Amino acid sequence: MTRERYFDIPDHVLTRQIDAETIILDMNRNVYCGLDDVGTQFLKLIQDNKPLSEVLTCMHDEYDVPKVELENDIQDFLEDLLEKKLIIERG
Amino acid sequence: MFNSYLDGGMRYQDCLDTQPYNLWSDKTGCWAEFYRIEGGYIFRMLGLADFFVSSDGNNCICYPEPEIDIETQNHIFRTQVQPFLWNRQGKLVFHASCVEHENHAYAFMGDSGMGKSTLATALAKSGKKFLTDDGLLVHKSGEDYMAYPNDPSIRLWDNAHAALLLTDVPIAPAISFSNKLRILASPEIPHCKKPHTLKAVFSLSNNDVDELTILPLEGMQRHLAYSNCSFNLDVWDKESMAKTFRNTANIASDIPTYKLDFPRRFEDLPMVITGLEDFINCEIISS
Repeated sequence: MTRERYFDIPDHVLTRQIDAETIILDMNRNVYCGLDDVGTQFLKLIQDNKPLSEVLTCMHDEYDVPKVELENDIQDFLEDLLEKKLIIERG
Repeated sequence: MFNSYLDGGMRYQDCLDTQPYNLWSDKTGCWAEFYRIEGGYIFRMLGLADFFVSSDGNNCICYPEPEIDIETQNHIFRTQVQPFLWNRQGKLVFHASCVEHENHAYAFMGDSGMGKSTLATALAKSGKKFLTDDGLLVHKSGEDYMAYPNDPSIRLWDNAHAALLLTDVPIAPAISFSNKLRILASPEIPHCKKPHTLKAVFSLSNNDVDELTILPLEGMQRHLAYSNCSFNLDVWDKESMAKTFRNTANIASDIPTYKLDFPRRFEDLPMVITGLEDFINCEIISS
């Protein structure tokens, strides 16, 4: 059985949704960036304490994209956020 | 809302044993330096005065150079130093001019040279009192954001002053840190002395356009407009940075905000002002 993966936003990262976008401030690196509506949806699900499997299901229900393609895109996006330390994996 | 400062006595600006962490320059060169010291900051207006500002922004001591008169000292404090005190106190302050129209405030945000003062003067000349030409303090009160008046003068380049055909406005004595003319409030350019609810904000852009263009700003672009124009004395202070981020996100979420482009020819200014007035009356007030 695969262990569920959960993610958190670290204390040094501030986020705020404005319209359909999310603005992010990384206070450790003084970096400011933004997410589009898809990234915003992803981040919101993570912040709602959903495990990755459920995030994928919700995103698949929301967007008309083949499941494999969506999973690959999400995986790339997730790794990018982890690498930039904008999110951290729990446990 | 305004603070006062203590007069520390006249003294010449000695070399400090630390390097400035920030400088303000324009086409004439550097005119202000910022230093961190224990418990606060030194805001050095070169050749004019040192202002020692406490970390919390509640205390300020001024050490003017011997040649500096009290009026210059007060003007520098109100227009240059006070915005930083407000910032350290956690208040929202923007590089923005502001005018009053039908008991609401309309702000024009932008960097130096983007036309904030010219627009405020032209709008004031057409009957809308100006609250400030820069350093706009905005304070949330209930559901409203109140825009506060600042110094009753507007700094203009002499070509803008000439183009605006200001015939009967008093001009204050020159201040050495700026080559701009400082025109004082008058019946021709009236000043608004009380705060008003902020109704809309225009973020000035300098695209090369032939006509007035006003577009709503969305999402991140809207926040960036406020973020780029907020006074922040110390961007390395994380607590202050976080507060500014949250405050600017709040106002960006709550206040209608537009990107404003206009032709940069003085002869087009009447058309720009008419277009702006129409937009405010038809698109903002009527909605």
